[in-house]
Amino acid sequence: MSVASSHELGTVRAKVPPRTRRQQNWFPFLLSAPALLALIGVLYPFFTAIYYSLTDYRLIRQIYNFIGFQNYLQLLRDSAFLHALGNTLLLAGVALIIELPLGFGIALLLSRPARGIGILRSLLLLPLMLPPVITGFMWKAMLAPDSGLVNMLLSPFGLKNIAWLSEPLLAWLSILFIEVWVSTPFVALILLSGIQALPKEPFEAADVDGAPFGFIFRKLMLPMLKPFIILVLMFRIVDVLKLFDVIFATTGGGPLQATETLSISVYKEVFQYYNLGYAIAKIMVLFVINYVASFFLASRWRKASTFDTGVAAR
Amino acid sequence: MTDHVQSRPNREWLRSAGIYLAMGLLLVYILLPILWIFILSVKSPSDIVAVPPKLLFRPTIKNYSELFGYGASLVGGSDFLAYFKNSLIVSGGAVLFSLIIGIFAAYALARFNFKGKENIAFTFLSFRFVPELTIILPLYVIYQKLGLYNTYFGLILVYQLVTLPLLVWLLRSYFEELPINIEHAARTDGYPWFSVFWKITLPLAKPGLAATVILSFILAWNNFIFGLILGSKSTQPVTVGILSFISSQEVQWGQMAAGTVVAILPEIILAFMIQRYLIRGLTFGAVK
Repeated sequence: MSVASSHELGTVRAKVPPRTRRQQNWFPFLLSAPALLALIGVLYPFFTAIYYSLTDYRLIRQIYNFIGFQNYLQLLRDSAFLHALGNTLLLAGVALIIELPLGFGIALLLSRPARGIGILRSLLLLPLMLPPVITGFMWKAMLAPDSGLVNMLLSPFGLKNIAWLSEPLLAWLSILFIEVWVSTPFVALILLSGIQALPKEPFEAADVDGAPFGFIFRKLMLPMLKPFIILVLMFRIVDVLKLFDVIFATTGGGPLQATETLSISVYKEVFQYYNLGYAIAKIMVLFVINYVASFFLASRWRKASTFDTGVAAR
Repeated sequence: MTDHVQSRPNREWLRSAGIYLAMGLLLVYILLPILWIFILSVKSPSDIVAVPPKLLFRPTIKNYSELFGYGASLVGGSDFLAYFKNSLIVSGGAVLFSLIIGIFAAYALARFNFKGKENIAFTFLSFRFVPELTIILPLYVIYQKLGLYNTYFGLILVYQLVTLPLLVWLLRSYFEELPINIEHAARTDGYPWFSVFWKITLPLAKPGLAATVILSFILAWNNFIFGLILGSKSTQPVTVGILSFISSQEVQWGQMAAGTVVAILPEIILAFMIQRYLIRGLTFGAVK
């Protein structure tokens, strides 16, 4: 697309008088100027953040000193931080391992014609559209030990008054479950778009040859859906690593830091202990992880999507 | 994936039963928590805390009327409307601001070739992948110095992190799909750039534009962390406001549930209006 339009622009350029041609060089910058200013408006606090992470800035003190990389060295010895980091990575890993196959399964289910499938596809959008913090409240109500629906549904099986959000392991699993509830529809709907964009011929040919479904899935479907899978991974990894709202609304990181992710620990570091400089050093670690992951996946995605499968390659 | 011609109708029946069962399970899985919150919102306080939970009860609208400040309102009740208004102002303002500054950038990125074009585009996109806390923690200090802390304008500015990259990327992808020849014809006929953009490009891009604006609004409405950190009671959105039902002495499930229903209803309606465009929007135009 972009190749075609640049070519067309080229032909037009040849027709217009020279003055307008020069005008075209600065014109797009003029059009983008307000948005570019906003860009600078974001980069400024970002560089401030880098600077603050090299200081001993505390919110309750006016004066702060440049201390070099001491905050970062401190992080390596901070067991609470290492716990939060490990917890974040573990939660992200397990969540993705569940969400991808589950989402794929749902996408396959929704890709076949059946009565009511359209309504189901629409309803699948609901978890995506709700504010995550409100989803957290909703599940907090569902999981309430005495008046919650989950315990009521489990009571016939002899399980009673389970304190889902106040036992460390159960709280961790509950957060995982909520995260899966929120995000699997996203995975499913993107993969569904991918499945619907697949060319028909190879699958018909494989069907005629009597290839088993497992073979078709591994040798045809998975490779052709690769750009979509990479895309899903890219969005999901970044979002699950910075998980905050859902945890804030349900457990607040507790009990005993069982559900404390990096973002939650950063928030506490600032608003409970006032260590702004140190907190920003923590979030910078997350920034680097996110940056590396999304950069790597974005380049893989660009490569994979040059293969024409309905994903727009830029 | 065309099916084999089934020799045994029995197997076919079993298979479609399995499919409908899976669909049913999926339906329950998605809808149950949402239905439950709706049920809570029409239960009286004594029915809510009943153990085991009552499935048959006399519905009441008391939670809603207290939410809007009628009757014996408990903590936070009558403040709800103020939070709701804040959400409208901040989300609406953020989308409008993004639209004004972003629409021309989107057009430039779609239609012109200039130096650093892709770098600029990808820098916008990168906002989506930066942890928000990286930006808002220094802003917490900067805003207090500039007097932007706890102001609508300050929040509208920071919400650009959510709305601007989405708007620029999506509009760019919609503009790219429009045939360029019509614009060229009008330009060669001597119409100035802006009137071509205003009278030809924008009307053609209308469906995509509408979907983009609505999705930006929904994502802004859903935001929690900006208002939590950079605002206080007088500017915070409804997502933060609902916290007050939970953090008071005892959790007020009824009003919390009623507040939730009111807070999510408008955006659910909006989301269904643009559902055809949603996946494209959520992937920044990558999946068409």
